[in-house]
Amino acid sequence: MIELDRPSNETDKNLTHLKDRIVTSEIYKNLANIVGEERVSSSNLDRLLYSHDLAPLPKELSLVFKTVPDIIVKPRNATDVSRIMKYAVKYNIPVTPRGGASWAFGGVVPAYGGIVLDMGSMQEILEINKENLFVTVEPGVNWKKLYDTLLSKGLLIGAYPSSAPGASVGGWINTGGAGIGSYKYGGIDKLIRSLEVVLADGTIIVTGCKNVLNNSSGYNLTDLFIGSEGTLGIITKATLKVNISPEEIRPNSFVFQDIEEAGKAIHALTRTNIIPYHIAFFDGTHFDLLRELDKDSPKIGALVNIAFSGDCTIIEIQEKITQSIMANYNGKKTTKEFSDHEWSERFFESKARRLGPGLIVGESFCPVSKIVEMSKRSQNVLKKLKMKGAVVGFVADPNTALFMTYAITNEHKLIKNMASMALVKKLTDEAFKVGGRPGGFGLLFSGNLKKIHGNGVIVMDDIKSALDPHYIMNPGKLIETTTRFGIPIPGFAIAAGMNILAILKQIMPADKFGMKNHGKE
Amino acid sequence: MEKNRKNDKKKIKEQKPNLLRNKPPHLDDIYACLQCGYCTSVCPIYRETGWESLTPRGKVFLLKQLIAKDSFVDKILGKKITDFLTGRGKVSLEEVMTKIYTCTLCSRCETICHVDINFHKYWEEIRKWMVENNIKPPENTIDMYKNIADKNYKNPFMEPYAKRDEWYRDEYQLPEKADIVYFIGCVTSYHEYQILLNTLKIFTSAGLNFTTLGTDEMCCGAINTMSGQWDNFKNIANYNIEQIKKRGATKIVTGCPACYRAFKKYRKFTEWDFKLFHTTEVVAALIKAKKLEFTKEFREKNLPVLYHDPCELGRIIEYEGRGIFDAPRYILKNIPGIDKILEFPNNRMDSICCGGGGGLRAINYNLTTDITLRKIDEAIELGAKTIVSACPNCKSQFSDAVEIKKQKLKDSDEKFKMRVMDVMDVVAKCI
Repeated sequence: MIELDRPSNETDKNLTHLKDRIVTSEIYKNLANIVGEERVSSSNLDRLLYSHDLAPLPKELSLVFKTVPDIIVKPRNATDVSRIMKYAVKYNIPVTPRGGASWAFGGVVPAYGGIVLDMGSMQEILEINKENLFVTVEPGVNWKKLYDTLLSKGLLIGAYPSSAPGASVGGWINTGGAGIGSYKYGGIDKLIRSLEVVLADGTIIVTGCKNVLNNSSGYNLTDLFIGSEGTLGIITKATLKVNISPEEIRPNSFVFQDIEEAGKAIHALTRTNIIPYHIAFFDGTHFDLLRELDKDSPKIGALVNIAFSGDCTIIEIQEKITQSIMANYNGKKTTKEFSDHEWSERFFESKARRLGPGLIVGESFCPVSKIVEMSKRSQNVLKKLKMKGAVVGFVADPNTALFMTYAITNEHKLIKNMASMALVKKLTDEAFKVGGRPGGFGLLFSGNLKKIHGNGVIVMDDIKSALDPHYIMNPGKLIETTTRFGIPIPGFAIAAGMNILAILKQIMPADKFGMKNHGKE
Repeated sequence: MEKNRKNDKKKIKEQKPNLLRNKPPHLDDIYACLQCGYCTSVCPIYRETGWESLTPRGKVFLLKQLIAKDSFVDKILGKKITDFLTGRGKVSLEEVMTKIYTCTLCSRCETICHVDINFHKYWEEIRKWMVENNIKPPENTIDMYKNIADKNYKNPFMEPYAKRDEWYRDEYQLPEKADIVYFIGCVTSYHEYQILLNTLKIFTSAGLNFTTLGTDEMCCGAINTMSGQWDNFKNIANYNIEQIKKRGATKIVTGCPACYRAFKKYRKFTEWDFKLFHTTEVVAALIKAKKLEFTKEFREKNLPVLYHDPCELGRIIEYEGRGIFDAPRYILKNIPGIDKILEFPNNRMDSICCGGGGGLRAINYNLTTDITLRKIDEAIELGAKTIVSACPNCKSQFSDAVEIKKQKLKDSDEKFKMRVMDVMDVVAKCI
């Protein structure tokens, strides 16, 4: 039980004090005092709903991690968050911030229960400044909505996640994403002017200047919070750069015989001075799966979508050169209707989930020079694990390709479904082999962080301890995976476990998929 | 004694809905859901409440939990122990029911669904399934259901049936038989009778040979289908069809999108072939055929007008066949004095519900007006002076919200004026 009168001043990282605490009604009352009764809930139903994200975690995992929060709070502003944090730090209650919950790595799933801060309640666009080209928003603002609102005012947000209709601004900052438009405008790290962050002790800080660059202004605090997965502080406001909206955004699609030629063509394009808005690629299986869903999809080897933005005359020049580069690798330009359709489908890449039902996505970054090799390796992994899936991805900058290879699973089969998680591990291994790295750590993949940064993780740990001495900010994530009992799981143990799952998946017979009741009335 | 006890136990067991056996309809949709949350970004209920449990994603997740089989650990340790260890408590069916009924059935979620779930059918059928499994729908909808079945009312609002033609029976002498029947609908008959009077004025001035069902009209049963209480729907359908047949009509015109959709559903129960029109379609055709003459200009002080697409007239009928988007716009464009029609930023297929749909008004009135107030703020920002819609429910909802807004601004200096009209009101003002 929590001792309510004696605040804890321990600065150690001993996580046992977080062990299985039960949030008492006292805490409910106190939090309700801060934000109001209608913004707090500890009902079974709500707690269950806030215990998951895109990935359906098996119930068994809740025995190891306390994924079900004790209480959900919806703050209204930074002051609310600050007061909640002050309260949480006083009584050592873990706090997990939650945005759109459209990520699949369990970043918003608590490992220790406690408070889930639903930032979706803060979704106002506060200021659109055309004079100084910035927009200030609350963290719960939806990317698609922001994109549409700005476009209607003649402005363009440089890049947005490929899950824009579901993702929140705060969420994408915390996962440090790259997305649609990143090729031209950079990832989220290049979009932010300044952040307002509430630290673990309730202090509200501002990390930059809303009007100008953050260069030569001391330690770059903004970057500290990008990709921090909610472990350092809670973003309560973000000021983002905006651009004057282009005359046109023109999508183009090119059909290739196989992913090899498509990869080579992309590589050649990135080695020119042409800067498209977005480059995405798909192997043929992606469309085969869509056809199984009764969608009108072509039978092709591979597809590359290239979108341009800017003045029409410049686009036309770029288009011409691109077309000739693609033609060198037998890439054929499709009709305008097809490429427009592909562009409108850019948010909807996981439709194949219906076939399983179930879907697992492995996210990894790899150099564009190795795009062909990585595609083949990914296809091999899918084959080895007897999984049906497709290699899809996009190019985030001239030398970074982000692979979002997915495979269909069957949620109804517990062991097989669990074993499917091995895909993520195997794709990670392949990414390392080609000089890339995995993306996203969340609840289970913190081991990868050490592999990427080595001793850098110790520094990260120090930063974490300095900003969050009580370890209440989204504990048990990113830097180390810790169970609800306070026992950390070392990276190699998770890796070994995943390898066992991989072997298991290889031994087990392949899943049979197909449309079940689809299409029937 | 023992036998009795056993029987009693059996009875108790029978009363409890067995959701594992009686699986909900569209089971593959429940499993297909990606939980991507695209739907939350467009859900009007989520925008106002902010609770995950009231989003389509949350509701699908809850349904999935309700019908989930015992997991591996459940089987080993027992469900109670696992639930205790994992911190998951029991979720009651009634609680889930209230969440599922807190929805305007606007189907906006369908336009953006990642895995193409047909939400316009889905929510209605889930409600039907819940009622079939003895889960009681909200009290108010049960009352409405009873009132419709009551011979003294034949409407959900407990108004006497004889009051239906009170507004027009002296002024208009309608023929007993005609080729066209104007089916008025309960909201128009009892609450928004201006629309009714204006429609009669338009039809008469265009010289249409039409009649109404008068006091014989019964509620179309839309509220039954929305609240999942389908068992009386067939009777209602047969009754109304019979009344229409009696008048020798082959064409049915209604100004209410809910009635329009209900009549579409009647086709399941009858082989009789009738033609169905919305009043805007008829008036648009009359204007095209130059049978309707405009003599007055629309008042300038009420300009500009803003058109709101009712969900049931536009998006949902589009999913069921062909949506009516252009007819009301065509009419407005042809009104003298109206040069330009303003549009909400989200219009046509993306139109955001006014809050009045799905029977939610009867369940959670304050929530619905919150939704409308947000729309009114949008309208003010656009500079609109008149909000025009083509649905009596929308009109009623907007009018209520305008009153609430006025009350709120009573003591402040801010001046606020907004007219709410139906397309029929606009037309009638100018002939």
